[in-house]
Amino acid sequence: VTDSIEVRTRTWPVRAIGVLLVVQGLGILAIVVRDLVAAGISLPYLVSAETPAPDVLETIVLYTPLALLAGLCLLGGVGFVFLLRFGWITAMAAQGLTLLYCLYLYFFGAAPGFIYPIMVYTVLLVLYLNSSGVQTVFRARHGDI
Amino acid sequence: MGADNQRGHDDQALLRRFEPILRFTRGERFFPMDTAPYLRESSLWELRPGTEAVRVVPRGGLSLDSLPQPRVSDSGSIVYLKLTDPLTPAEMAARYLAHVHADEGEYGEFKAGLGRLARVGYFSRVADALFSISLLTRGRVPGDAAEAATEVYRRMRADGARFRYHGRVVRQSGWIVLQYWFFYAFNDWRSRFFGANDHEADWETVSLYLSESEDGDVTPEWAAYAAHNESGDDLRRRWDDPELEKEGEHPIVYIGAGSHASYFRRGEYVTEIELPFLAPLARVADRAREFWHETLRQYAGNGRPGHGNGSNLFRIPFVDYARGDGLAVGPGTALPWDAPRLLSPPPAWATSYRGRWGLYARDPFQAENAPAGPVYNHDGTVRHVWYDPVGWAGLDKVPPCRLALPIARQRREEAAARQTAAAAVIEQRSRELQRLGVEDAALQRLPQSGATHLAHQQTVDVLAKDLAQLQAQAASDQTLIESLDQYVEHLRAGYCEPARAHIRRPREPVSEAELRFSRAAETWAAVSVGLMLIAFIAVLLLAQQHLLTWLVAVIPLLLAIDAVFRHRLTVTINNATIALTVVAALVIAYEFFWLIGVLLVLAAGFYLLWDNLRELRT
Repeated sequence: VTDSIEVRTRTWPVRAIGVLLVVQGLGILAIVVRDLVAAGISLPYLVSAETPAPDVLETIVLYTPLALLAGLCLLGGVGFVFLLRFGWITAMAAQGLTLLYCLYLYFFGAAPGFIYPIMVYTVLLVLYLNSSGVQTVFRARHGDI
Repeated sequence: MGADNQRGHDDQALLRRFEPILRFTRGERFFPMDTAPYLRESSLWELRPGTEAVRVVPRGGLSLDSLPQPRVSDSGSIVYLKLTDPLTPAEMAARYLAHVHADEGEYGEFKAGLGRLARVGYFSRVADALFSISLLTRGRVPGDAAEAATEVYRRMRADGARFRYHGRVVRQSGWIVLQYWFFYAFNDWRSRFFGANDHEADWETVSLYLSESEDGDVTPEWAAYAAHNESGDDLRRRWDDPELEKEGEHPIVYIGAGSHASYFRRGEYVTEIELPFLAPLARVADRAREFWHETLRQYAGNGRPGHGNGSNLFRIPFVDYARGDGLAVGPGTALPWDAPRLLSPPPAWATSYRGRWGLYARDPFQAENAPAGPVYNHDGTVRHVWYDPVGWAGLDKVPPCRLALPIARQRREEAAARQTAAAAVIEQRSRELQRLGVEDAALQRLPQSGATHLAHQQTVDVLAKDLAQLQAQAASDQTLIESLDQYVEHLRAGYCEPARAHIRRPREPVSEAELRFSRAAETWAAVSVGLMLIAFIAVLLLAQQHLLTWLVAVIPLLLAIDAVFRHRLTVTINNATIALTVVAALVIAYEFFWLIGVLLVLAAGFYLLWDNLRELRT
């Protein structure tokens, strides 16, 4: 019983990160869907053969990387929830690319409002991912990551 | 005079008894030689501030006797020797045709093997590119100087110059120090072995530390090899340390190709050099890393927070090839030492000539300027290894083995005597304090005794403090006595400290695992920085509007490719993400400064409320 309690105690920070990553992925996806719908872009429109208008094309170019990042976050989240080896590197890559995307928009793009909550969430998640407790648990299971 | 002669003979005999064996790397062209033939081939020059250098003594006019002669020099002028003159292209070609194959036959051919750039990260490669470019702007030894020096050295050897070292014997703090000074005509580390610098003349040293018994027998206890101006405990190895290779009583020294740095083990050593103008950046990186690990308690390796590895982000790596697969010089080899030239008592040519022993290249970093002699540093101050050879190797706190036991006993007796004396004083002052305590109690009861009572109390306080200090000292002495008792017993039983206990950061050759890079990785390392710069300029000229996108997309891609080649993808992704996190945090702080402030104050308020209410509830 003691052993199982210890294992539960040790792995919960890692599993919590998995949940946080899934929340991040779903949140980003929600932003993408909300803004695309607001711009009048729907799935039937995207799959139709019509050539999109320039402003629509610009919106699609803006949100496509974000949708891919949401997928990467979800993948990392699943990796963490199930304590899979690829979880950590996927999660860190997702955070790095998310920050790169947000900072690019901040410095060189239109700096839309959604980048700030994403950045705050990502910064906190990076700190948590690198905290000694999480790293120790993950390395204990997988050796050098 | 007779006594001096005898001392000289004794010193020479000691030096010869323990003289080291030097193992060089294939391709090495310069070997330890006598200074006299070098001086015959050199001219003496003086560079006054704001003027061109003037030749003071022409080639052929110098000797060990004439070198220290006083000459009129302006204050601030730089005096230096010059061994070589520039070769014309025809001379270069003729030398190449005449000697290149002969050199390879005699000295062996050097193959660099795995490139140094493949062993380090992208930033270091960029710093290396800056360093290479800086050579175009700062003073340096001309490119043909190494070839010219090889020619001169060949001539000196043909004229009878042989393998010789300069020996010095120093008696200091119970040690007999044997210093073997090796003089090389040229350091061609950069031009022939892809190292950091070239310069005319090179002085290197190896020191052995002997203890002497009462009947005059000497026992070697330590050896210290100089490498790249380092000093301290890490330089020395105990005589019984397996890392210190020996043949009989002769230690083996592996010499860095071209640099002539000395190593205990054969191998390839990565030496990191920090460019002075990048030092502030390196310090900032170190501080940021410290904040990240210590303050934010982020993971730092080995499962411990705060276990940083130091920043090498802005340092340029150079490889010192000390393979030991070339010529060997010393006892038992085909190339034995000639009788040494003694440096004890210090000759005038060593102490009175403070100039450089080769070309002064006007390099502000000093790397390409020739060194001063065995006694002096670049700036004219006396070398640490010369004035304090024992402290230079960190042995100033270590007695010779035979002295350790008597010293431990003596210190034990001193501590015991101190403790006995202290016990009597403590007893006497304790009684005194008790008496004062009684008086104090009496005064307290007396009305209107304020001033007297206060003065009395101050006396009590002073005495109590004094007594507490004495008691602390006595307790400390008791601990010392107990540990010295144990140590004396250990020494009597033949106990020895672990041979490597003093070493903090040993210089280790690059491991086989670290050398396991593919040819593709080496090629990538060699071309990546150059390609990136060329591509940058191409985008700048041809598609300026996409420059930012290119930077944002391509730099991470290049870093990722590099990391894959070096098996450091995880570390690179982590470091890059952390760097982006710092930037993002700064952006957020800038954009929401007041909001963050308000939230922090609110959070503090709620915390205080919760904490105080919790206290009320309990």
